[in-house]
Amino acid sequence: MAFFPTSAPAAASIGRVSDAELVARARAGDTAAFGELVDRHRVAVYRAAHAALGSASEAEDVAQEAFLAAYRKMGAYRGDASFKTWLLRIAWRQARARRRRLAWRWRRLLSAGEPPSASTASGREERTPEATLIGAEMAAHVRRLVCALPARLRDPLLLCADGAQTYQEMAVVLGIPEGTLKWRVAEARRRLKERLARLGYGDE
Amino acid sequence: MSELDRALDAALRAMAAGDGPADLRARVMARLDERARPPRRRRLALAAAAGIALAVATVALLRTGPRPEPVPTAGRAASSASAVPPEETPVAAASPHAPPLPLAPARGRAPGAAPPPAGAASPAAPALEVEPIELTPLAVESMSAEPLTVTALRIERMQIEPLAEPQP
Repeated sequence: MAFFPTSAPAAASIGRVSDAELVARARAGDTAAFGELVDRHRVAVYRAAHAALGSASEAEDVAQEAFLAAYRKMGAYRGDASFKTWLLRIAWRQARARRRRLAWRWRRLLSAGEPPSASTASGREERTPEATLIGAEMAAHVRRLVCALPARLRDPLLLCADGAQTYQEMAVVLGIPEGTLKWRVAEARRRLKERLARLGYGDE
Repeated sequence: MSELDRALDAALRAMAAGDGPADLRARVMARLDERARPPRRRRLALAAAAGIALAVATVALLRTGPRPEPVPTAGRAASSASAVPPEETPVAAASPHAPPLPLAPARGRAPGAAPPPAGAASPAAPALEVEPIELTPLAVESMSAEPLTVTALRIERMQIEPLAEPQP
């Protein structure tokens, strides 16, 4: 494929650059390159944080902090895993640290009973086509049952739920073997289906 | 995959949905700018303050360097009757026309002067041109003491009467 240099502004050429190249530029002090990395991975980082915290506002804070931490630790990125996986690992650790803090627990306790919001920053709950199909009632049951799962089963289940990352990547993010990750996801699904069946949502 | 599996997948995808704030990039870049600016300014300000302090300290040290010890000369003020030992008033000994005195580690330093290090004069120290200090002789009035008159002590004999014999 021939390359035709154009007079387009430099920002337009960043879109065709790989993550590795952007990381190298960011290390050299190019903050615009780092900004492009933020844009590329903000959704994945936000969703990982939301999977751990269940709150849109908390997930936004953690996502921001995760990117700042990644910028500071840019020199430590060795390239063993993809930049996205490395970034998600940082975000996951920060989200878990926040979850462990007592204040977070108190807030969750005070807001117990409210379903976690998988919404955008505006706070409105979006009705996806999937939610419309399965019905709001079942969605509410699934949400409640997922929150009741132990964290070691809930976290892998939610992290792999959007299908954007592979099991191998998520295993690196969680710091567990891939086989363990697959088992935990399968076990979480099994328990959910068992409880949904008791609620009358079994296979027909 | 059963219907329940499909429904469960859909519910989980709905839970995990959400793109987060669209302005996350702007927020992160703003925080990076905030972090980058103050430390550099603080470093420059600290460096400038340190430089100024060093300069002031150097000038102060040069100005208040060790004073030369005054040496008694022939033109000493009329204080021969003074009972004050010479080493306690070295200032009085210098004459206004005395030549500049060499530095010497001894008593009689001007107040506030830094003591020279042990080992006396440092040959490597640069020669300083010190202007002779014009001193006015200190006039000390002689003390006059009156002779002490001691009165001789007179001792008179005491008349002691013997005690009477005790009655049985």
